[in-house]
Amino acid sequence: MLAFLITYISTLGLEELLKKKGLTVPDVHKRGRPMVPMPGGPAIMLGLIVLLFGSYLFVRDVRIIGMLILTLSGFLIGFYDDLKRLGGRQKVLLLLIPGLLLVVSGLYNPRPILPFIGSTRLTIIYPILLIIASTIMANGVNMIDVFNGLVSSAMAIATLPLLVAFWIKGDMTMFLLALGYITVLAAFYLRHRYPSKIFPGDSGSIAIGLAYMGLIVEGSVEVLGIVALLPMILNGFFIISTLGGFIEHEDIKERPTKVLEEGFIVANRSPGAPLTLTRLLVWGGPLQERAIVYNIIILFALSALLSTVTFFIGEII
Amino acid sequence: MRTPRETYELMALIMLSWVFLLAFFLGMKALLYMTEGVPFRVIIRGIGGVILLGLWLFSFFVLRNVYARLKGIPIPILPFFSHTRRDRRRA
Repeated sequence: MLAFLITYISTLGLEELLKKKGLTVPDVHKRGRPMVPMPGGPAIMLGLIVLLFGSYLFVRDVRIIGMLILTLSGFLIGFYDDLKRLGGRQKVLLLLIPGLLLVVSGLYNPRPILPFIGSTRLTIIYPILLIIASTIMANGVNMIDVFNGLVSSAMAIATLPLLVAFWIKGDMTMFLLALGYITVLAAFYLRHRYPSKIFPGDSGSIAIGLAYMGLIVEGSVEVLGIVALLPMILNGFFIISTLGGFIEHEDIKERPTKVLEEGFIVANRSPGAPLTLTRLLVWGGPLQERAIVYNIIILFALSALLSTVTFFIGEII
Repeated sequence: MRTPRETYELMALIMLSWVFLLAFFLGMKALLYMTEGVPFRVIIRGIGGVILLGLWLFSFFVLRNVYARLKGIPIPILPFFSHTRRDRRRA
C-alpha cells in the first residue's frame, strides 16, 4: 500500500518537475504529437525501493537484496540512457552488468525447477544465463514500451501466474513482493494509461523488467516467467532478427507502423520495416492505439494462463 | 474494442512457442534418462542441452518465416537460404 502511494505521489510530482525542466518527448502515435514528460522511471524506482527496503526490514530475506541489486543497477543504466542516449549495442552490453552484479553477490539459487525434470543443479551454466538474461529482460521490456499504458499493464498481468505459484508453494515473502510489484505498476499505470501523462522512459522500463527478473530468479520460477513473457520474447526476436541486430528506437530508419491523420495506426508495408507485434496486429487493417494495447494485453493474458498451466504440469508430473 | 484476426493468429503462434518449449523440456528429460550412469554425462548433457535450446530458438525462426510467408509480409529470410549466398557459391 505504501509502495502504491509513494509511486503515485512521486509520479505526479515528477510530471510537474519534468514539464518545468522541459524534459518531454512527443507522443508519436497521436495526432499533433503532444509532448509528454519522460522519464517516469525515478518514481517507479522509488516505489520499488520502498517495497524492497520495507519488506527487508520485516523479513530479512537476502533474496530481497538480490532483487534490489538487479533493479537498482539496471535503473541507473537506464536513467543514464534517458539523459545521455546510449547506442543500441552499448545499452545491450551495459545491461549485462546487473546480471553480473547479481552473480558476484552470490544472491541467487543455481537450482532452477524445470517442468518434467524437477529440481536441477546448474552451478556453471546458471550464472552465465543470469548475466545474459539481464540484458535480454531489460531490453525486451524496453522494446514493448511503445504505447500508452502497455508496459505497466502487460508486466502486471505477467506477474499474476507468479502470484499463484508463490501462494501454492507457500513462499509468502515472494508472494508479497510480487503483490507489491503489481501495486507499484498499478500506481504508475494510473498516469501511464491512455492518454499518457508520463512515459516510463528507459529507466522505468528497465527497472520494471529487472524487478520482474528478480522475482522469477529469487522465487525460482524462471520457466513460469519465460512463458508469461512469450509475447515480449516473440516481439524482441522479431525485431532483432529483421533489423539484424540491436538498434536504438531513434536509429531505426523505417518505422514498423505509420500513424494516419485520424489517429489510426497502419502497418508499414515496406520490406525494410522491422517486424513487430504491432505491425503484425495491424497488418490486416488499421487500429487505434487503445485497441492495439487491448489486443497485446490479450496476448499477455494468454501467456499468463499458459504459465499457470505450466506450473500445474510441473506439480503433477 | 476490435479484435482483429491477427490477434488469434498471434495467439496460435504463442501457443506453438509454448508447445515447443515444453518439447524442449521433454527432450531434456529424455536426455537425462538416456545418459544415466554414462561416463562424461555432464559434458554430454551440456552439449545436448545446448543443441536442444538451439532447436527451440531455431523454432522461432521457423514460426516467423512460415507466418510471414502465409501473411505475405516481406521480411529478410535466413542468410543461409538467401539467394545472394547461393549465387556467390555458384559463381
